[in-house]
Amino acid sequence: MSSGVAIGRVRLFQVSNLDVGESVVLENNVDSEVERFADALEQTREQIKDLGQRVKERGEDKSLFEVLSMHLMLLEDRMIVERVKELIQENRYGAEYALSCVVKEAEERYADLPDLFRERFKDVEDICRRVMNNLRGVHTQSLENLDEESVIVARELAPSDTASMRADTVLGFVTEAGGKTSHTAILARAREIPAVVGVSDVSRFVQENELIIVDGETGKVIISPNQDDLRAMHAKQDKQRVRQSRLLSIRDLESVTLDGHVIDLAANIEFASEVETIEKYGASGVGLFRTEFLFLNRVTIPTEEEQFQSYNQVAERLAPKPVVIRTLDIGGDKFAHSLNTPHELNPYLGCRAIRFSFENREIFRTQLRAILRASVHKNISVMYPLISGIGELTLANEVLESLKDELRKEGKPFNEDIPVGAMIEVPSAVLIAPDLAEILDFFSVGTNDLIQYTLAVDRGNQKIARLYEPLHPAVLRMIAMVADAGRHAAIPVEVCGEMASDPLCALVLLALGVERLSMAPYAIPTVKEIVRSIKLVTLREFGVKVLEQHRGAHIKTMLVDALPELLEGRGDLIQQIHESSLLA
Amino acid sequence: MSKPGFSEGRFIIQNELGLHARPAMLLVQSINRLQCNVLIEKEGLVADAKSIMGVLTLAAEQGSELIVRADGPDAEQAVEAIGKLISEKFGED
Repeated sequence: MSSGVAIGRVRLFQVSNLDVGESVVLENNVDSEVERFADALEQTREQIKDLGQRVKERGEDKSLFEVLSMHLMLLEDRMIVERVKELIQENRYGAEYALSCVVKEAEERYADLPDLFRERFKDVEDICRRVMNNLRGVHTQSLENLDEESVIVARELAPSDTASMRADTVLGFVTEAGGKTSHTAILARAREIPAVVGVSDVSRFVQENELIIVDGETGKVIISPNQDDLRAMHAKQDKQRVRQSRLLSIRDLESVTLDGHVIDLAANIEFASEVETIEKYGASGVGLFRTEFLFLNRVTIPTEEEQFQSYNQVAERLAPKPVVIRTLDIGGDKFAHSLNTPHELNPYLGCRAIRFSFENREIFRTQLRAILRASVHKNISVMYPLISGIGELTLANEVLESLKDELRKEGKPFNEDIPVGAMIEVPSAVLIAPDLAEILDFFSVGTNDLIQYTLAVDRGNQKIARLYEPLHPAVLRMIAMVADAGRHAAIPVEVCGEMASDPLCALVLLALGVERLSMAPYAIPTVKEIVRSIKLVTLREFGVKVLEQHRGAHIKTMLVDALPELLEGRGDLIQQIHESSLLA
Repeated sequence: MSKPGFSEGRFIIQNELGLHARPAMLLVQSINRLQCNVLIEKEGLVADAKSIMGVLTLAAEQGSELIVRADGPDAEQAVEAIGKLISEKFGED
């Protein structure tokens, strides 16, 4: 799921079937059939080269380029090319049917291989589908050359397809495959294209040019909407537009409370290319740069240079605004094939995050070197995830220091005083926060993990999801403890979990003494409006009362009841909080 | 016994992830322009070393033993090139 609503005409994309019916050609036509196949290969080669050129020009990620090189090699692969020719010449198969047989042979070949290898069958499918389109003279629908605004409906979008997607003609998309962390879903979020992924069989139920509504917020897809649906969605779109323009108008205003306290509102990002959204929403910097996505959806581990490019791009563009880079937080719910993460019985309590980095020391060292090198702009901080004790922290810092030594010897510049922070997301870290504060330059509370570890709740488990309570007194007291420890040690305390993105929760966090929030970029304007409408003194007094409560449900009611007083005269804003908070 | 125009080598895959997409591409690229024919054998499975699909579907993981056989005027060069890539762990790890 992603942001926004799209209403448009369906464009079925690349549902061209690789499984075609048997066909034979006359003996006389065998040569021309072989030639037809060769032409289709050549045409495909040109298309891939073109695409590669454009990807290069746009400076998109290197992994995509690797995929395209793989495709070019497959176009010359004897096991495909010679085999198709052989089937045409010896069995007098039509080129399409011959290709279809070869794809099936390839599928069998890949079927029993270990995951890492079997997955590459996708490349064979992707490239053969292109050849098939060219053979049939189907004008290969390129997402780049859509002549009008459309909603793309596809079985799956390959990286080579999404690469050519342009936001001005692609209104939104729906795919049958994919989950929340799939390449397609991440891309949709990053480019703010309304999308719903994982809708099985959708391409069977829609027709080309049919009207379709994609609601990225609720994950709803309406095919052939009636007048009522259309009216409701247009209204939703209008409302979004109004809200958007109003919120963007406060982009350049300072995030300061009525009584003069500056509250830092930073953005969480996943890709270097998201720097634009940061500027668009007026973030004070990047409070959390998640680096996992550099490692996901790819076959190889990114090199130091590749990582450096990515970190450097963000740091350089935003300097002097601060950028907090979190080292790899892999494991738990995110699995990277390039890292060969083993299956564990209890992954959230297993070898994840900083523990994974210690187990895979070279990956950790490579990442820290890349971060250090990008720190020359003096605005980068490094942050370790899932610190549970002082030993992990000192070990991580030892590695960091040894790399500083290395870079010094190599004469490579970096910031000697790069600030070091830790995610506070394990209850043990909360309890020893004063000790950690002696070594650290800042705290960052990861609320998602802190809630699940404190309450022992996996919110992905439907049966107990209601126990996942961000406003549980235990959770709020934990956060208050971290805020206190930070204040005593005079180090900043940031909250970068989902709670910071929820306006109602953000209000509670400020009440508990947190003065830095990092959130999804789109959430910033609302929170900024809240900040600009409150008196911190009043809010803190309210926070004291919150901490005296015994039940999450009471806290919620108390909060909702207090809104008119806390946000005096801002009925419109209260209304908006009710609409956008998941708790309200 | 090696005869002229024939060369053979045995190698153990050392990099952690084995002969996956990127290493396989490097391997094919390293010998693609040579004239000789090159076969790679893993546990009785034989693949054309100039075919990316062939090399990939050997699914050679870390620790697998590969026998490389090249036949043609530049056979030695081919075996050397492949051996070098494998011993350098394809620039990984």
